[in-house]
Amino acid sequence: MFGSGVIPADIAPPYFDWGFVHLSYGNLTVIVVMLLLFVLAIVVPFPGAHRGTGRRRTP
Amino acid sequence: MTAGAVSTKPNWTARLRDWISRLVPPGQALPDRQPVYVASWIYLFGVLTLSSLVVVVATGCILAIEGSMWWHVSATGRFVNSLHLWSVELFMAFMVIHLWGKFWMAAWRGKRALTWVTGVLAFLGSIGTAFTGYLSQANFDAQWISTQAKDGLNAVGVGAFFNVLNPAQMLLWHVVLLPGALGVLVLVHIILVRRHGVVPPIEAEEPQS
Repeated sequence: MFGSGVIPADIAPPYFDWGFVHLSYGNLTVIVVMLLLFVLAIVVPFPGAHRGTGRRRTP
Repeated sequence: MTAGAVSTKPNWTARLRDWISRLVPPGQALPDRQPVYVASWIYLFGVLTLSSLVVVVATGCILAIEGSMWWHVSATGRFVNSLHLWSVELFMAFMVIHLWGKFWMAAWRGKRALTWVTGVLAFLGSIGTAFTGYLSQANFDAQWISTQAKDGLNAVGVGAFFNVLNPAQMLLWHVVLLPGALGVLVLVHIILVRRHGVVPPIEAEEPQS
């Protein structure tokens, strides 16, 4: 019934432990990637963007 | 949500048409121009969230048509099941980054409080929809999650009408009630964004027109 791609679910994943912080490395990776995306979205300039005030762009 | 003069149209169809036409300012339903401060990557995460939601709903509809045996056993079914899972992962990640961006630019400024509130409610609704999705997998993982969740939910008094040990009830919450509520919230949120415009960065000047 099950194919070879089925992953056994009764094996605990490796965990990151630091004080009260207890996170699987999978979840920790997702959180780090999200924080990285957030920082990059702020600091990386948007293509074609130019600094100015709140005036609308006109063609 | 409307503002302005009371309609004098003779029937409710015409009044409803007028109300819909005044929901957003003329030309702002699908605008082709934006203020210069919108040219930033952080402003993309709202539409990325919306795009992910489209994939979530589309793949969810296919899973609903084919059923649980299909998504567990067949290669195509497992592929669509994976598309559903990973589009949800992207949806939640993009939504949280959108939330961070809007929080740090105080996006409730300029009469946008209701936009913020509908976003918060949509976020909470998404968590409930994702949770009932995990309970609707029809496998041991769903059973494990339901038994882990039951005591907490029963302790806060919702167990009488939200029983995580009832898979049929959880499936219907997942595919009918919560997506319906979420759809309405997202629609109102988008209308409010188009009505008031995207929030400017704190130091930027908001356009008057």
